Amino acid sequence: MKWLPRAFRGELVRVFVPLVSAVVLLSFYTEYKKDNFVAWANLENILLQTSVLGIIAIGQTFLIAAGQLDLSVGTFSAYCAVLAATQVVNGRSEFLAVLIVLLVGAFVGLIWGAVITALKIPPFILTLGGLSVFQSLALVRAKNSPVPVRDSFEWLRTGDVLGLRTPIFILFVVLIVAAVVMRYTRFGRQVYALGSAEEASYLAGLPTTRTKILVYVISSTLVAVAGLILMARIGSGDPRSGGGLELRAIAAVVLGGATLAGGRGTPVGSFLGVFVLGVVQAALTFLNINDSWSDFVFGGVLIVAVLITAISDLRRDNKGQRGPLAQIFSMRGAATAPVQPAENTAIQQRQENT
Amino acid sequence: MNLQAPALDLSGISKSYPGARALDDVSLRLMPGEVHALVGENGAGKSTLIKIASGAIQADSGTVSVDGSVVANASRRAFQALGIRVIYQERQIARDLSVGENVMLDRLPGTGLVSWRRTMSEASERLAVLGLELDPRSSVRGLSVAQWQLIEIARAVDYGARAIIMDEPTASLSRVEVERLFDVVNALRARGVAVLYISHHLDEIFHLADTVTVLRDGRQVFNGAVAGLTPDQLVNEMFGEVSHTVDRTDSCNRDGGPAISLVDVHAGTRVRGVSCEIYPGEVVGFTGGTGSGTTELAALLVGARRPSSGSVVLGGGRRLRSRTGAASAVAFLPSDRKRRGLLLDKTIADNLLLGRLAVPGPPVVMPRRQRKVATMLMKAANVKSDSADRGVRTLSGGNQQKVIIGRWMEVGTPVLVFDEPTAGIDIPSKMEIYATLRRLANEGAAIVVCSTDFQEVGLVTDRVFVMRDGRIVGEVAGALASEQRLIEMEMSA
Ligand SMILES: Nc1ncnc2c1ncn2[C@@H]1O[C@H](COP(=O)(O)OP(=O)(O)OP(=O)(O)O)[C@@H](O)[C@H]1O
Ligand SMILES: [Mg+2]
Repeated sequence: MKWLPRAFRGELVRVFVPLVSAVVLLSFYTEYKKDNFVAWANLENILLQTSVLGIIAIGQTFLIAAGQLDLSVGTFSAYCAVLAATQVVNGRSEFLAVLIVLLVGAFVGLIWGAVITALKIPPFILTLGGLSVFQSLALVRAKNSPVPVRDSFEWLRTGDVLGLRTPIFILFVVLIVAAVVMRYTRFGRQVYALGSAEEASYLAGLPTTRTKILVYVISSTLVAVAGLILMARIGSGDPRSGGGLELRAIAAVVLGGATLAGGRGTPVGSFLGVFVLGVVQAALTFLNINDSWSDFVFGGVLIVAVLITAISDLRRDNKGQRGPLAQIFSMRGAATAPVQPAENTAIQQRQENT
Repeated sequence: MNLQAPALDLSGISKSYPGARALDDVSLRLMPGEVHALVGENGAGKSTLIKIASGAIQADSGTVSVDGSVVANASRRAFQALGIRVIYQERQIARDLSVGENVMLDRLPGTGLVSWRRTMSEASERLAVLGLELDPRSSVRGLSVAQWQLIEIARAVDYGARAIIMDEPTASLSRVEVERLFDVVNALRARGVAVLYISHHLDEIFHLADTVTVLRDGRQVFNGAVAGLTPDQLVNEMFGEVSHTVDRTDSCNRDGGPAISLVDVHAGTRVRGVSCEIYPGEVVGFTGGTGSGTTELAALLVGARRPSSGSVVLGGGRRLRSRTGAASAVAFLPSDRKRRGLLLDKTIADNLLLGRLAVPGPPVVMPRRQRKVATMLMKAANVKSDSADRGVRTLSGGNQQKVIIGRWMEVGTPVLVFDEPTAGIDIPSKMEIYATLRRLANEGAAIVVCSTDFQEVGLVTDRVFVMRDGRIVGEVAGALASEQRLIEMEMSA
């Protein structure tokens, strides 16, 4: 595995390999039942279904690593979908529609970032307001019902790039760029520093304001991208299509090793989190389990993940920054990690709180 | 024969952490009315021992007894109930509560319902004993570390306690407060309360303690009466040979104008009209008691606080307006390391590299190269740990401080401002830090040391400004800045 960059190597060996083999086995198994051995088709399906959530979650990773949060991403992606659809319906070119949506995305991020840094408000309530506002704006713009795009955006719906379906291709590009930015650039390292201790970073002289604004811009722009894919995949700009995506995105990011306190989380981890949720979803569908259970299973996965993080935090080794997925899938890691006494972490937690 | 049971008896205590054996078979006995000093280098295991003695963590082996009976697996609260009170090394302040509530945190008066009137009046009394005149209803947020420290001392002092443990209570206090604390400790001794006192200041040990225990690398290397000891013997027990001189070659260069200057700077009531010029190649000290304004001055010098009038001018005439982006002009070491200095959940390496992240540089960073730099800095700053990848949280207090200093080594910033740079640092490391400061000055940097430690400014600086009530009340050459001289200047002005 020498040819892999370090960023992927560690995670890959520990997490990807077992996870991907589990998924491949599952797909083989399910496909076998349907007398169809083409596992890739199954995997591709899961990836297609998770591309929207995946891109949003990667954007949210930047925010959460910086100690920020955006609850408006779900409804904003729906707004972007509607916006793109109405542009095309009004006779604009696809190119122009895409450009407008991306610019709106970046602009909205800029506004969030500017307001949050200028007024020093916690993002939770502010973006919770945004959630409602964008829902409403989407409904108004769409006049309460989906805006069909007919045969526009074919390239995004059914097209291929380099042998991958376009949404999957975009997802991978976003993933790789984000992973590189977070690990190999000063900006990425500043994001983690900001998220671990804002005041210490500020006093050290880091450009905390700029970093904070930038993470909102990045996230909102990625949400706009996700909105476009969302629109293309359903063939219309549906004002109600993004509901709940914000919570799933946050869940996936946490599943991938981040903590809401900030300073932790990687795009690769978040993608894995999304992927696991996608696999669970696919398995439920395949096993013909009543749809009513799907939220239960989703919630269950999240609760278990959080419990695992909490327990591993209590006994984490000194380097330990691995997410719940890594914990589940790396038995070796779990067995050899030096155990730190729980009570010690507990005092430090207390010291933190005071 | 002493028939009294020891107030606190630690016997055969061992404790290991991944990569560090913090304590190895340590025994310590604290008799009622005894003041027992616990000393040793940074990372020797002092704080670990007192955390065990107070139920904050559990030992791997060994026993803790209070008043002759063994206390097993007890919580903090249980130890509290047995009359063991502690002031931990790092501040334990509830930031959203008032000063009074923080003082009375573990004993809010009143039956059933809290009596706020009594809480506040008792808190004021306790603070007044320590010379801290603060409205108990005010917020703790804007206070200095020294004031927080006093609040915690006020919380812990209890004449009915069996033993009071103080982990570096004077690390951020100035001379006057230290003397008040001495009075308090003597009063405790007179009432039969045992005191376990940790400090890196030897004069305090000789002034206060009856007995002393020296730890070194987790092992007990000395235990005996203070009376028969000389300071040199004690230092020798703690560290071996230590040099006590700082090479103070004058490297000040006034040709190119000041590296940074203050022009009639005011900041509320805390700094009132300070003007001075600091040149490349010199180490300048600002000293004074708590509340004299040195900490505020440090914040002003680095752009972390904006002057309400006046200005801070960098070399070349540029005005300093904000901390953001100022790191390439002025590096800063804040006095409150836990809250303002460290990325607590990150590794030693991440913390060491923060200085480099703050100044302009190539947009791409290579993790492998970064690791090398971090390891180099860790050596240069003499941080005691087996790997730069360990969490900075796992370091002892003094070693955490070294990390923050190491952060600014080799960054090449023209001005460096250090607020209480050696709080909690052991003697040999202090001398190393002084040497580092002098080296940075010789290489052309302008160094500002804000410190309430008179010895420190006398030892390392070229010039000292003495401050009181937010004003500069005197200036003296470093070579002439004896403790006595500084005290006189502070008082007479
Ligand atoms: N939670 C922890 N995890 C790992 N190692 C730890 C932990 N806490 C302490 N140590 C290690 O135990 C040793 C003793 O630390 P301790 O804090 O007791 O030192 P100390 O004597 O109080 O030093 P200082 O004078 O710097 O405060 C150090 O090597 C430290 O790195
Ligand atoms: Mg300590």
